[in-house]
Amino acid sequence: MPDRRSFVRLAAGASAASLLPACRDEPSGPRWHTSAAVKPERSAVAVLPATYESDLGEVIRRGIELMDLDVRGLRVVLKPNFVEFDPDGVINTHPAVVHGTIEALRRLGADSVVVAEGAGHRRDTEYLLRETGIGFALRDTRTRFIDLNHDAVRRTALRGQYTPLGSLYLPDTVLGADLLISLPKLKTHHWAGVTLSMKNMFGIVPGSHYGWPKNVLHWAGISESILDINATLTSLRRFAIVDGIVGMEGNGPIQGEARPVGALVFGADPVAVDATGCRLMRIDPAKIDYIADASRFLGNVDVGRIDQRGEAIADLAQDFAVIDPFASAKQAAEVTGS
Amino acid sequence: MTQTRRPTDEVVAALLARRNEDGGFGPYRGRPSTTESTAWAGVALAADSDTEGAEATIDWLLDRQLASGAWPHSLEAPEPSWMTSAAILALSDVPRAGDAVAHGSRWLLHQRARTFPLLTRIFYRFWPDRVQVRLDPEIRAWPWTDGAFSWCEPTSMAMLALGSVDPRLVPGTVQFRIREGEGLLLDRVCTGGGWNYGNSWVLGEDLWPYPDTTALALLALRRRREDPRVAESLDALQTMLEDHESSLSLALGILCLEAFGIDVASYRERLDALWQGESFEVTTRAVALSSLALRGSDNPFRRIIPDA
Repeated sequence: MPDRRSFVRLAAGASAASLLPACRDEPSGPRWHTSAAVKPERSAVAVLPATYESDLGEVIRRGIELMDLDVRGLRVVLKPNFVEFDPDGVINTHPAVVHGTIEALRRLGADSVVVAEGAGHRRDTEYLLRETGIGFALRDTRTRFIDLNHDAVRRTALRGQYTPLGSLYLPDTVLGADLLISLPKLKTHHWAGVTLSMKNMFGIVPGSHYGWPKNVLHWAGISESILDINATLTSLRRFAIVDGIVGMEGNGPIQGEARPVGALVFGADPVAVDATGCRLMRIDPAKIDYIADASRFLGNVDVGRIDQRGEAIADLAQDFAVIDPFASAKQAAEVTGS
Repeated sequence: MTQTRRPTDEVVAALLARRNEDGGFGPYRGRPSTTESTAWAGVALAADSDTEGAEATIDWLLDRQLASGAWPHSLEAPEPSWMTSAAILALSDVPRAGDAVAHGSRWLLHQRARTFPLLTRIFYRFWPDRVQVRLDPEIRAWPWTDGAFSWCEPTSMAMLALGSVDPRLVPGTVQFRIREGEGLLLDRVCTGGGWNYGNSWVLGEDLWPYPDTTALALLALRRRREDPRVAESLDALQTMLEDHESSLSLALGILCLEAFGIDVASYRERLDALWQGESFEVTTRAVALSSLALRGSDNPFRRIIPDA
């Protein structure tokens, strides 16, 4: 039988299922450049309760301060997730979270804030800006939007070797940021298991070079591409704020169901942030392939290495439904960190 | 003397404001020129009788064709690109571009998407009820990038590009490839009509159609207008456009429906209103297509019927 990773690669890459034997080579050594080995001894993550009606500018300011992030004088790029729109769905980072993050960063002295995204399914960015409400949040806050699908690019050598890609065109806006903040939605993902701050980085890969969807990444392997892209972004200072106020369970990232959690997750270690996001969904992060691999060099998954600040995970965690291939990630899930 | 406002005035002005010093156009104002943006801008300027502007885009395109016949994304990304289809479409009526169009068409004809390995295709054939994505894996149309799967937009654009070329300039295999493109589009049509980016059903769920991909697919399938899936998709497109406020979708929707002989006056009014109001920044492609859609004549898609 195929392992889950090779099964998913063929299913997503060619957009179809396969029962071919597994063909993944086990690595004989590290599959990341030494410069991408940035895993700290310990990481900190904060979980704060929130609603979309609360003063999110204030909540997010507290979260940033709780994490000792100094944004004064920095040119910040915010990368939300708005990949698609469904009037009855909860696919995207909520515009109130985008709005609140912009406010908080300005209050804390950021030099500039831009919002940047390269939607993965739809070329009609104007439609997405309007219908998701994010365009109006940007207008209210007089914030510039950069369409990463069409930004100027640089061919960038990947710092990971999980895929055979070697290099990718990546946008100047992202590569030139003083601080890149991933602003994903808390969601399950039918090919990758979960989509959080690391998977959100698929949106920086420009569609005008790789298409809609960015199928090259699917063929190269979704988990593997997440690892290579995030390994490469270790050249940047990064932070993440996960919109877990209302998440998505089941057949995410597009057609799942809304699941309220009432939390925002903050942290500078994307692996620790994503592990915490998993625990909020009662999913074992060690059983999500790319998070498990990322814990070897990018950041921490073990609860013993994560300093939990703010709210206890156990007080907010919800039992998110997952599709069958990820059922085993639920079985051994334990909620800790309280 | 008071001049009457033309619906296209603001749009053409917005387009011209994006022209770069090299004569090309970038996807947004101030961005480096790309093949796709320049191609669509050239088509729009030619329709607006801006001969000088259109000629500059033609020069830009002719100067940047690669030895393989393909066009690159841009100077910063010099590999052959899916944008070749847009360049061919923009140049197919230009007498001095005949050789470039013929060369580009031959490259495009040889672009063929990847598909599954044999064992997977066998699985698809014998256990169709166990697949996660419903499609016919035997069909190989056009990908966005080399070595990837077939998708609706690059397939539609390749069919339109090849359909716009004087048949004497392209090999006879063009008919086979256009048939293959038709097969792909008809295989991937969504339940109820219209097209998503390329799949119609994943993990037990129907995917919903998009107006822009639907309009392009329908334009590519004009020869098959009697097919019930095409008729259903025409209805679906009109339904989608009822509540879809975006320049790109309305413009492509108008150009498509008009090519099928359907009245588009109300959609054109809405597109015009969108341009009069405060909107979000849109791509040069959307500006150029809006200009074409608002003109009410010289719809470049009318003359193109990909014929297998």
